[in-house]
Amino acid sequence: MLDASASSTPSAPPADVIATRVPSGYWRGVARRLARDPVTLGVSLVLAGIVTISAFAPVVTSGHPYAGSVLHRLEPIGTPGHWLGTDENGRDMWTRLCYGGRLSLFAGVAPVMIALFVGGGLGLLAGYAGGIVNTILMRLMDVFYAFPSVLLAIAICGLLGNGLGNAVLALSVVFVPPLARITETVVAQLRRRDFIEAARASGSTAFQVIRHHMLINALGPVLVYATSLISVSIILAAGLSFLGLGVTPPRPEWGVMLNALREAIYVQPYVAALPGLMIFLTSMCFNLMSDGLRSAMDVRLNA
Amino acid sequence: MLEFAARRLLLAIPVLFGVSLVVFALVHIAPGNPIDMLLPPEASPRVIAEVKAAFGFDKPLYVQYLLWLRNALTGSFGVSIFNAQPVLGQLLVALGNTLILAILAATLGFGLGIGLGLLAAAHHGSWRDKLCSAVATIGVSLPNYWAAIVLVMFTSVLHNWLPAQGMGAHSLPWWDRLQYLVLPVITLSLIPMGVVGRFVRATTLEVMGQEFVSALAAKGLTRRGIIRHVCKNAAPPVLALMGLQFGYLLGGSILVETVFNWPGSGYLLNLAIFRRDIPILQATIVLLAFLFVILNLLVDIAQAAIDPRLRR
Repeated sequence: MLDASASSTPSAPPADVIATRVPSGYWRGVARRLARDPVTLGVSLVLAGIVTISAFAPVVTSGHPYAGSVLHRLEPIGTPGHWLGTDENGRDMWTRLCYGGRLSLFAGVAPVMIALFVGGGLGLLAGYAGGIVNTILMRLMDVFYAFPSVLLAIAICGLLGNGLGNAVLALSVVFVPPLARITETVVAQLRRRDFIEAARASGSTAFQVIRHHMLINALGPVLVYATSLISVSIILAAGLSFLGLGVTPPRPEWGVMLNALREAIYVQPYVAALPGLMIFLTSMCFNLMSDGLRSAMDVRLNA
Repeated sequence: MLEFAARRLLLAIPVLFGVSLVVFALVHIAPGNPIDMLLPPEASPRVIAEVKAAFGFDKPLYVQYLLWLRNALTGSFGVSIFNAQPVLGQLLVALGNTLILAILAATLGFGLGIGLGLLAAAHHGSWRDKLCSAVATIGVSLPNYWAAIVLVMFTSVLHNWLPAQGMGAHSLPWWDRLQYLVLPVITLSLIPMGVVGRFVRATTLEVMGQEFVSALAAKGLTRRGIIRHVCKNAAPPVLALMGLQFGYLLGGSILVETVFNWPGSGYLLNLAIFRRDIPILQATIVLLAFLFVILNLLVDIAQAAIDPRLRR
């Protein structure tokens, strides 16, 4: 009992209290949870592998992606010199898959990046400004929401003509409304929070509030959502090329290759399935990565 | 409730108007003149002018838009540039074929998805949860045009089990034509299965984590009673998602229909793109978007019917 009064005098706190007082930010917690998640780590490794073989395609392959020989058409997997076989023009599959990753990844990731800036910007504006600005912007987005996404992408790309640029443009248009809507929702929720109110009351300009408070707090949910969109975007981008609307032959791209090998399923079914397998693998990685980020960041989304 | 439905209906009108404007603008921004596809390069200016006048391409853009809108509202979409047949007839036949696929694929996909999601949520954290979640994630990540090719490979190339192309001849009895449905329906059901499965799992877990569930358990309600409350709370968002997915099946089956040569609306759209058949193109996109808007409207109303809190 006497000890109680003695301990009330100021003294050094016990060691364990100090340990918990080490400033541990939100992002550090996210990184710690990610490091303990084997699925997300594994998926990141696979994705890093795919990006590496695409980026360093000239290093990891020996041939040229256009070089083929009619004498060696549609050779099976495991052929000496062509370990993944050859395509319908006798070109080495491994070489073309590596080079193909460049265009496929670009066509999948670029639209989401563009839409993240445009849609995120519009959503930020609509959510922060509220009122008439919000109504106009979000009703405009509703019009684009009225199209099923695949239909809109194919319609735009089909009408503008094929080509990588048009495919990226078409997919960007498709992804702007969902990203604008999610950003608007997050920002509108944030805007009602006390700390934003406090910042505004203490004289921060709109720009300062957005820059210092909104962006950092809205970033998590929006990024998680964008990552899951990349998975859709990869599939759609390759799908456009598959239809003959995006990248055109003979450029190596997974969708183009899949389409070119469609007739070959009767001759070399396994070789013909390879480009699609790459699309599937990449899309799956982005999906699982989004799941991992979502639980590490503790984001709740209904989008 | 009626007031809510009426308000939603009114809100849909400007959206539909916007949709028609977007489609029209898209078609006219597009490079390449549809007339050039019809006529030989050496056609005389007089012939070009005549054909332009016949299709109404000689009038100013806003007149063309208003004319097209007026005709579309009365159900007349003109004639195809490619085969000079009325657009509406071709479109309705194609849409019917797509609808068959979409309804069957939705039934299969939603059924499997709800099953997977509920099973995963009920055994949260166990191996069953992981297995169900993995299946659902694979469904979401599969490029369905590739899944179609792989299915064809296994069932038609490696084994001779199922036909891989088309709908079967009209002369065949209907039960013989059923087998043509199997592969397209399975392929199309994969994405809805995955999306619905993942969403049902997440929604059910969220509802089960809410305080009212513990309260129900504490007051001694049976397991069956609790499940009923959980389902009723999880149903509206799941319903909304299923509506969207059904819309995607209607409007987004173009890739799968192309692989299977299924003569649906997506296949028609694909042909129209490559033939630059503007009347068909416009009509198909507008009609599919129109159906999508109506579908969303119905889903909103159904949601509000289940959950009175949404009738604001």
